[in-house]
Amino acid sequence: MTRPHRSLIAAASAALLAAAGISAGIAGGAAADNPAPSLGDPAPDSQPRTMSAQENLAKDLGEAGALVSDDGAEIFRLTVTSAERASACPSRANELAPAAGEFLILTVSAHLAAEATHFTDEAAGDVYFPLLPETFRVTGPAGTVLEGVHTRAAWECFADEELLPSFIFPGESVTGLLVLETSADQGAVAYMPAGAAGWEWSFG
Amino acid sequence: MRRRPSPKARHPVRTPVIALVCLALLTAGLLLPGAGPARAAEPCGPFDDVPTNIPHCKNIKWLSDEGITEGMSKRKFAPTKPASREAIIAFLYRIKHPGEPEPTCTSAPFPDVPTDYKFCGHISWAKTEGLTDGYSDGTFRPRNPVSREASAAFLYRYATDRAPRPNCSSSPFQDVPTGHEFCGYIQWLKEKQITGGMDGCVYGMKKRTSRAAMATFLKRVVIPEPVDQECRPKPTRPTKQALFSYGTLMKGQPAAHYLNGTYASYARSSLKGADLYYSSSRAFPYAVIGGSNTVQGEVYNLHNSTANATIKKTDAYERYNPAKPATGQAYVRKQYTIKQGYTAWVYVAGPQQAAWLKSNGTRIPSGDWLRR
Repeated sequence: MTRPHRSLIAAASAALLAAAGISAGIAGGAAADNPAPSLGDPAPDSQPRTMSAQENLAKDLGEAGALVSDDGAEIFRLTVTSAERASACPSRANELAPAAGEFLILTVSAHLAAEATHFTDEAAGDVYFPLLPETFRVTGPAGTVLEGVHTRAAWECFADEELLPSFIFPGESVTGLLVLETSADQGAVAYMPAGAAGWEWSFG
Repeated sequence: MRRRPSPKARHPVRTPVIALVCLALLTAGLLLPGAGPARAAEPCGPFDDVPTNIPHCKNIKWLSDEGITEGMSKRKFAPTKPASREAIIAFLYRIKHPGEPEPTCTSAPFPDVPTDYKFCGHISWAKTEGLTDGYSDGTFRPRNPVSREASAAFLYRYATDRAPRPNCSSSPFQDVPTGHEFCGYIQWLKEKQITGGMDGCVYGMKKRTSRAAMATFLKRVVIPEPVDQECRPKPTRPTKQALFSYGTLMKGQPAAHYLNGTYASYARSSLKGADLYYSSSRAFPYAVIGGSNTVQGEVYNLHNSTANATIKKTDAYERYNPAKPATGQAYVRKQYTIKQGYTAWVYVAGPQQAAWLKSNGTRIPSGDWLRR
């Protein structure tokens, strides 16, 4: 796949950070940087940050990855709460069996703060994060990124109401299922929306 | 409020933040112009918002070359916006008085056109010339959009030097009856090859005259040219509903069984004005509306008795919920005119999905999922 924006992303990153006024790191734990009160009160972060081979920030299932601003305000939070392997899933049309491998059924929660609009000049309706299956990657036990996890069969699993929405907008909190397909019985699933490093959760 | 980056910005785990923030800004559209694989058409003349591939381009360019317009604002002509009554009068004045300064006004020609009004001189001229008497209540309403029937009258009076209203001997278009008060003007417009109607069949009397159409009318008043006036009725689809598929629902593709037994006929087809993309999954494509490319596919003319049930089933497959707004949905179902000339339902990328694909997906140059 070609990625025409990659060089642009690299070149523009520093300027964008400055323009957006966002400079803090991803919180090492769910509560490392002033979690938003509305999101509960997770335990304080006493763990050191752990980077995976893919340069993702490693998380345990149920542990949130959070994007926080300079002053500690949480902008975006994503949690993979469970990752279950299954040999079948209910199809939206109830007609198809899964294709190859096994399904990896994730339960994902996400929150995008209403204040996210403060970090861009765009109108509120134009600010969002993608939660598409394609923004999630699977790595095997050896740390290699596995191909072919976004299959048509996985796309067809579950009713729309049960699935994670494709995008999240400011002020929204969403929870739903996200289905990938893999033959790996253990590994990690990473949220990498720009194709670059993000957070990852181990399974198996 | 802008906030200066703190030293935390130099934290070793900055990369994910950069990626995420960039993504947010990319998807917010801040980095999209000029950076994606899709290319906008060349601008027409001095106007960035007039693509060269629209038929009105040469006429809009002529209007600019002749000094009749400088556009709505810097490098914008707003071709699809309705032309105002004051605009058409101003343009006619400038055509009649090339190179002359803009006229001034010593007395108000209409109660709603004061002497200090920008176009008072033009409107005063139009009244004196007998191009307009204003509305029956005495007003002129300069900012009102000019209807296509009113455009015909303005142009007739201008070009014929205030000749009396013409009789209408035969209906020039299907929607213009001979007894209509504007029929004579519209018949004249057609006879003089100034219009071919909306599609050769109808004129659209009550519709607003777009600024692009106005440019074309004005140029043809000055420089006559042959105009295609053949009425070609739009084809009707064989059944009440048709579905255009370009991906996994096509014959031989993994989800083709969804359409088994649901259609009366099918044919190869295509959809103009769209790009075909796939994401990293490479498992299924998305049509992204816009641009000058064509997506190849098949049209299924659905059995009338089961069409609604079929659409409901394909909605579920595509994860499209018609009860929700398009915002945030990966696919949305809309009607578009396909190659056969009639409309069909097409599942196209939703607005955010389309933006995401332009930044992160791969465009299929052939527009054909089977030849990717």
